[in-house]
Amino acid sequence: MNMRAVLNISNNTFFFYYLFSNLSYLILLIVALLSSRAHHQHLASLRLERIKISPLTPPITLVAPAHNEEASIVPAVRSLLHVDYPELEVVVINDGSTDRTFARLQEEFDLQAARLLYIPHIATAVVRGLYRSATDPRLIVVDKDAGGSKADAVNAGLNVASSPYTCVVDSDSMLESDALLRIMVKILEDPKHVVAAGGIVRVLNGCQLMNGRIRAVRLPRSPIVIFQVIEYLRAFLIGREGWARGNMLTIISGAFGVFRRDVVMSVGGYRASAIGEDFDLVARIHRRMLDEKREYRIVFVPDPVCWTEVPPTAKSLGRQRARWQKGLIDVLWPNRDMLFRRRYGRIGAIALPYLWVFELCAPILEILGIAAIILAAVLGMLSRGLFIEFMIYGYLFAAMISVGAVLQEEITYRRYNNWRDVARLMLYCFLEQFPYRQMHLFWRLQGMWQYARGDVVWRSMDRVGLEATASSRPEP
Amino acid sequence: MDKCAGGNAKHSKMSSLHHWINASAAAFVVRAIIFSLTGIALLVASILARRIIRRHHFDRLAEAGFYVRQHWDEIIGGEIPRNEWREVHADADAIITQALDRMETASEEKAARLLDFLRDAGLLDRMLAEAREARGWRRDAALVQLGRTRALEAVTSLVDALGDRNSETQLAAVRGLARTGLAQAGEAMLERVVAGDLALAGTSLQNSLIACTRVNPRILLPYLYLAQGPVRELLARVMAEVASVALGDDLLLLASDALPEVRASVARALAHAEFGFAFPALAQLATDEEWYVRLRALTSMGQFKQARALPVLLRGVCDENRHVRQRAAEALAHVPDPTSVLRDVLKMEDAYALQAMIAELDRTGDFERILKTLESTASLTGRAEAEQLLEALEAGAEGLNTMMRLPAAARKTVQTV
Repeated sequence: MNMRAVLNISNNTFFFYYLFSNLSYLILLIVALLSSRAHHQHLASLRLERIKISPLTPPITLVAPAHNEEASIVPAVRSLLHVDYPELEVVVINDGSTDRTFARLQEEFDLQAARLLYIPHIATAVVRGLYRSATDPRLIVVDKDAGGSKADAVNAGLNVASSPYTCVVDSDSMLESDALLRIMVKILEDPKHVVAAGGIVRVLNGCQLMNGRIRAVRLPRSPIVIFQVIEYLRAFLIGREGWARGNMLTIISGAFGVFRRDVVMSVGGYRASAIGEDFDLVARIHRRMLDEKREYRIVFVPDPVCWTEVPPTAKSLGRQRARWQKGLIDVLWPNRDMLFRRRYGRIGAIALPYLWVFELCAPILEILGIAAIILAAVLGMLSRGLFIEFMIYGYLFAAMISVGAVLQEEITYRRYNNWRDVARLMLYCFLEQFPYRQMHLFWRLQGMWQYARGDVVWRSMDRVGLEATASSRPEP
Repeated sequence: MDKCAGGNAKHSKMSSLHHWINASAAAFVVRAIIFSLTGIALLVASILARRIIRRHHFDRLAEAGFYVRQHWDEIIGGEIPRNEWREVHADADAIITQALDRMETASEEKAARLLDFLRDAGLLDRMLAEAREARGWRRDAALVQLGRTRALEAVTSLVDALGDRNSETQLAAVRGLARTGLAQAGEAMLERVVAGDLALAGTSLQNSLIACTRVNPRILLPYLYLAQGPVRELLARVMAEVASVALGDDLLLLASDALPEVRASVARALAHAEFGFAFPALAQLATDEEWYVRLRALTSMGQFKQARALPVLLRGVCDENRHVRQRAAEALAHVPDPTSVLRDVLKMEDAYALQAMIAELDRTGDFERILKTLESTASLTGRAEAEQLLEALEAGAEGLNTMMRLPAAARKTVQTV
């Protein structure tokens, strides 16, 4: 087979790959739009206050791991304590911070040493002490040695948690006050089968904060953050919503998810060595449930919101995306035996293969595809007209999916009330393709390269703190 | 030669396939561009249209709400003729919303007056018609709204909706019936539940039954005796929330029921009975085989704050289940002399019981005070005993810390209950 034949096959394969990828996005968009509509109609006959007053509403423990988070820990914990839920316990884990994280907590919440029975159901790094706030007894702080991962810290929190449901929240994130009530709607409708529920994570950068609460939702100025706003909308409102509809949700964001504690404990908690501990946990829950042939559901609820600080610079964003890619490999590779096995149902037949082909291998396939197209053009094998049309199609289709995510945001929350914000959001849907997409591709390849070299060291994100992030944006 | 011919044929086939793909792809890509452009235009138009329509809609609602709020007394008193607002949809909606909101916080007498107003103004009839005739989510919302009126005539329409094929409508009807809080609504649901005609996953049905049977838990009894299997479990959980002394001797009968949920509900209800009446049953339930029955029994026992309950509570603090131990400790920490309780606990030589007591006393803020009291005990006779207790408490407190400080490998050998 000569070079021309190879290039022809390669270009055709790339064409069909791209086509199938777009088709799956389109299906997810349609499913997500229908699903959101149904959810909102369902909410029309429900009042959240009824959940608050019901004696059957189960207690929840919020678990917030913190490692060197002195800049954001106080407003974050304050926001957790402001969450409107009848029986709430907040467990913050100081995971061997070397900055003033623990001191800030002590000053702000008047922590007193507490003699609690700590049963280490899941092994973690050594716990130095347990503290309870004198100003708000719902707050418990676990002070422990650094375990080298967020998972280790969360496991210590799970050992302390006393509620049947736990909600893991990043300490650089803020829950909206009704977030738990909203996420519990779907759990309480089928508590026997729903073992985990994920809410939506949104970008805090640019919003205005006051006393640990969001005062005004605004779009940030930095283009790199706006691109992330669109990405988050697309990932949660289209991706997760669509996959959850078919009970094929494979990830619940580590920044905000509610789990049945007994189920998490039964799979041994979070895997301390996992790079993407949130994805890893959900994969293990799927595996356990399917192995045991248990009926279960992992759901996504589109209206409870958790606001999070996203990387404000290309450098820290690059680190984060490389880590996400490493996390993806770290989960997909050990679970490769789940692929196409009858026992693992649609997870093994659809969800995991999709992740392999369109997420994990996407950077490599894209690079190979681009290289083949360029080579074909150089050899004069490519019709210039078709090439340009194909590029236009790719550009417009991706923009359409992003605008679809903005429409979903309009249907579900409509948090960006300002017309200018919405106009900018739509404009950025058209700017995302160049050079942000290529940068993203590069970071993902970097992540794969690092993983192949065995470089799995955690590189921390530069944080400016919730209040600084939120108030850093000047009013237009 | 043949090989060469075969190779040429293969090449020719490949080439024609490639041409076919190229030609099809070109046509497809043009169509896909048109599709994407149309999609973008439609999506952008939807966003803009939605924004404009919503703005207009909410402006109109706000305007109507403001008008109604300003003229509420005149509207209720009939000084503003009903024809003026009844045919204006937004105004009538605003009046219904405000009347229902006010009913929720009004006294019984005022709520009854508001209900009369809704009846006289024909608004209740309108709500009844909407609950019967609307479709989809509008009907679901109308059913819940109808329930909020707490009108007896609403029950029939709501009960009819329980038979709907759509589970969302059934759920809305159940929620509506819950809002009435009427015993008639409770009985209608109970009949369907026991007959197997109403089975909804989740807590809505239970919440609704709780809301409607709380006023008279006795209506649950015949259905509870009649029901079997999971339905009986469901009713038992409802009973656990609403059971009261009004159940009288039936409580004692149910205390030895085969279903643990029922026994737990009895344990909970007995907290509101006379101590003399409740004690024997609670003492028996405190030794039940199910941990949550024991937990409920000990919680109820603790609420009496009676000296006779102490031996039962002390047994409870040595329970094999840590939740039960903690609940017993919670009750024991509130007795007038916790130091004497600590002495009794120490005599039992149960490290977990002592830890439960220390943890609870620490939570209530009494632990340090007790330590100080023991340190300052001056009497010669009490000194030795105080020191012994002090030593045990400090060792117990340290024991609580030891477990979490153990290295991960060693922890696997620690026996935990």
